[in-house]
Amino acid sequence: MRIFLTEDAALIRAGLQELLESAGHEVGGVATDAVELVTGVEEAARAGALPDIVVTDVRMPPNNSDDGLRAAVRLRERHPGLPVLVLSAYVSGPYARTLLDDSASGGVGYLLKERVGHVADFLSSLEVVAGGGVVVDPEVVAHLTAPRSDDGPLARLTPREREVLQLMAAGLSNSQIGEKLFLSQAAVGKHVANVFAKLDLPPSEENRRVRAVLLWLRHNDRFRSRR
Amino acid sequence: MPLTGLRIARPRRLALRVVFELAAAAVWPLQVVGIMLLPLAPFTAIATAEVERWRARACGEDVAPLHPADGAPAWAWHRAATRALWRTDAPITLASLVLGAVSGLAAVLGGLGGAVLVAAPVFHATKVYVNVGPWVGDTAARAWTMVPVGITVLAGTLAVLLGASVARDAAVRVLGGQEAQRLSRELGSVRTSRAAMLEAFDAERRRIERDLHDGAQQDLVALSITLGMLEHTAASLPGAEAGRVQTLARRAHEQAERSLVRLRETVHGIHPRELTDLGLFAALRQLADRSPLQVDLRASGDDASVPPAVAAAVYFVVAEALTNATVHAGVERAEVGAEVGDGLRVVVRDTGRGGARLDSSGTGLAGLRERVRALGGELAVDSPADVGTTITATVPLSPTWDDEAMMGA
Repeated sequence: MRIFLTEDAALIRAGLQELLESAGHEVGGVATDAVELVTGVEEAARAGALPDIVVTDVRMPPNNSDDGLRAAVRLRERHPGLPVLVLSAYVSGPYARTLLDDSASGGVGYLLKERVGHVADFLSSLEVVAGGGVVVDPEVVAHLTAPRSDDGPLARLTPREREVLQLMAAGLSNSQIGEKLFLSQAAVGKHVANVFAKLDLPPSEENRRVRAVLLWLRHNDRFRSRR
Repeated sequence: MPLTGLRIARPRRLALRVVFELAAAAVWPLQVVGIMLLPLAPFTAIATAEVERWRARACGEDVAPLHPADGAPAWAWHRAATRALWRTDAPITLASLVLGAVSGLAAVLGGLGGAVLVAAPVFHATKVYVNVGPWVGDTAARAWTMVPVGITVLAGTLAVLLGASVARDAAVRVLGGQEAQRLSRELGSVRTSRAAMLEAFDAERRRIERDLHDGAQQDLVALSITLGMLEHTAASLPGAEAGRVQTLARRAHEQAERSLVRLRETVHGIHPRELTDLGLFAALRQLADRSPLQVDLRASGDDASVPPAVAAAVYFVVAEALTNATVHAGVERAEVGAEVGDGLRVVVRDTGRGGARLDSSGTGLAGLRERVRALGGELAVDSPADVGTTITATVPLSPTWDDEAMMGA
């Protein structure tokens, strides 16, 4: 995979680059702030070599606010479907929502930085996002998915189905979910099918998995609509 | 404006004024002795000023007593150590002494002289001749001509006494009034500097948060990544020692992660980053999401106009109120309302056990009330038992005394 890496902290940037390269990926471009990220990716796009995935920090210069996140959203506007994995130093639901709000086509991820240390998990998340999936950090997911009485279609889910959906949001495949919940493949498959059915996602729907996760994350986002 | 004193004068007050002046003249020697005994001088001055204020109030002036309302017994002792003693009490005492001397002289010379002149015919009848300089009341005609002169002198004496009385009012009003103005000016500047200090504290907290985030937190993340790679590499090591290395690598990685989590919590407690990045409403939404309660959040208005110090204070009020509701109220849901208009108004309501009080609920809300007050706002707790708790914080977007202090400065 060719990866465009953006991170302002030199130590972390070096660590990430080493990790990615030792896993056999190519770090095609490196940026140290949000402006470099946008120009770097645009240049690559003009050269016909759009990266397979962009990995970026949220908080970066020039404003040291959520510049990295906004740059990522802007890049996705210009290059729909460009996979973006955002790394954040702290849990923030609104950040995740900002990113997920425009992610109907999938290919987005939001992880806490220290997850990178769980090398195998991190590398598989990277694959999921690059493959058009959605990965949201378990801690962020936990924040976003406390049960609500006004959950609408989600209220129809059983606790087990909810659990399965939560793991789907974390980017796990059916077999991984089975391992985690000590369920057989068939049982997981049944739960997943139930989730799709209860969320009104017919088999004809493309990328049902991503849509289920997004529906669920948006549904918990009651704040924006009220505001 | 001594005329004010005359305008409000009524017969009873005129009599009162004369009585006060005569009393002042009688006490005058005591005052002089009190001033002469130097160690007593400050307290003589304070006592004089306090009595003068009391007298002025009795004559219809709007002057506050020095004695504080809460009745601290050692107030005079404290006042003796302040500059107010020299700025207001000493000048009032000086005026009191001068006017006391005038009243005393007028009472003795004018009062006695006038009375003797008026009584000249009586004296003449008893063969005692009143003698004023070369003018002797030795005939009835001469004695009777002394009567109108005596009346005039008495009237003049009264006029002098009343004049002295009104002058006392003016002295207390002008000198004491300056004191009040000075105090209100000082209060204004104290409030402004308190608010400025809070702003500075808040800026400092944001700086600490930023430094921790850019420094220690980043380093720990880098360390955690490196340890993760070590753990990953160790997993594919051959040999007998491999298991030991793997265990240690995993433990080091876990320890680094735990310290990261702690640091992140600490940093969040110092200043929540999302307040700066996303604004108050989004940060409150985060709080609501993070709460174990089901929180119904309603926000209206423009949170961009809320200054950082106000936003931070209100954020922590809501955080504390939600924590209290979770721990004490025994409820599953709570309501949070935030409204930005001329000021910021935040209400946190639950329908739980109630009975929360600012002083008993620990230092949390009580400390936050001081923080809110320092910004010119108010924090109210309404918590009837078994009905629920409503915590309301109202904070102006800019402290209301800014203008006052500007005028005073």
